[in-house]
Amino acid sequence: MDKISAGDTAWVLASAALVMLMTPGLGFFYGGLVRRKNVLSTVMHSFFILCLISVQWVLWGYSLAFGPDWKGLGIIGDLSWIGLNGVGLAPNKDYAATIPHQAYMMFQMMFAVITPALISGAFAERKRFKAFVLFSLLWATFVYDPLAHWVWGHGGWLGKLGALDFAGGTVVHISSGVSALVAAWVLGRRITHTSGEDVEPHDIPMVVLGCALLWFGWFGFNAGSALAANGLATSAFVNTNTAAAMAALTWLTISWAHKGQPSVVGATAGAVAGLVAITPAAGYVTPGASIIIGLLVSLVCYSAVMLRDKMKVDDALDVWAVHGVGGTVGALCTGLFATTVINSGASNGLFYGNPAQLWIQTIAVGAAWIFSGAMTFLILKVVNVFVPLRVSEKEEAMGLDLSQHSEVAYSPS
Amino acid sequence: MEIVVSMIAFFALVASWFVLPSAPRAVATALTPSEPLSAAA
Repeated sequence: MDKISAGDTAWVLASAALVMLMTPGLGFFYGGLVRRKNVLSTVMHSFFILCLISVQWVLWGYSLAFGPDWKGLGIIGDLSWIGLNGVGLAPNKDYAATIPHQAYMMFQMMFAVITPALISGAFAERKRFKAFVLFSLLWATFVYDPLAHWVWGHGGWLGKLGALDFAGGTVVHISSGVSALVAAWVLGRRITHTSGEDVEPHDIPMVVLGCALLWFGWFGFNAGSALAANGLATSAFVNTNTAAAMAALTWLTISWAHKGQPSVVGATAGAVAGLVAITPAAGYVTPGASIIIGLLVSLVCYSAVMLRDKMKVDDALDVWAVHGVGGTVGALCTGLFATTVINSGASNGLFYGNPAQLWIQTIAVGAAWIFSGAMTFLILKVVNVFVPLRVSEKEEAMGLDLSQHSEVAYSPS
Repeated sequence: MEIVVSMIAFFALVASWFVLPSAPRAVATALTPSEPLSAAA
């Protein structure tokens, strides 16, 4: 049995707890952005997914994502680890040689939890709860689990190709962002969107709180992905904070120049975009590169938000513009800025003499876009056969808190 | 054995959500956006 490192185990378990906090944090972030009649349903999306996917992951999700490669195709894991059969307390050298296998499983579980929760921002204020439940379960099984296997699973085809994704630019952010765009398109626009009703955020302090919780948890997300308490974790930690800060400053400046005021919501959106973009790159690039990535991602994502404004797709909370586009920027920048000076176990990027890495990153990005987009469309169509995706117009006008949960967020008394 | 029971329990829970009513409709449908929340009382 390999020797377990107390320090590494403590850091990975603590990181799993940090990433766990991101999902309710996301609930607050999204909850503040919607109207007050939909805040509970929006928070519930994140909280419910935390519960649902935690069990799904133990029962079959982890086996599909990280189990032994099925038939050596690099597509999906087999079911030999179903119910955590064989996933014990001894380290698994294929994934993390110094921590218990279950610690690794737990850390990865929190990634599987937050990814479908990210999509919920696209269909906020109009999706039927039962349809959301079925969609989330199917999406985690047929989109997240295979994609995680492609990139991180032992024998996954993108991993074997040499794609670099330190903490989930393709697996988490491109998959959720592209799926969000497809979901928003399939569900259609909110009725209030077409009737001209004000759809401004109802609680901006809640948005800032949610963003702060996300930022805090992201240290576990990225630095925890080193899977050890070492220099690489420190490098990822530094890059995470730096990119988030630079992206927030950049987004704030762009929106100030564009709209005449330094927007609070804009600053939080910029911070999240920076966190998204540095996710695939965090363990491969220098702090200087993280500043450039932070700058670039806000420029590109702000443009994507304006583009989405012109599109007839009602991605309510701009999940595609921030996560889909931001994840793409991060994955491609990894192909530009990666250096073995930071991570000797990885590859150099274009700017360090290895142009092939940018091509590999492009393939990974394209595969994630096509697979998650197509599968999400298919899953939504299947769900719609059994449960209508949208609430009725009357229920939507009433608000999802009352129509779906019979509760209100703020007592009138 | 535990895995089989766990699977059955999980799927039974999921299935029950599609059978259970969505909400106490008497409350939910009594309200419209233009009416105060106190109308539920």
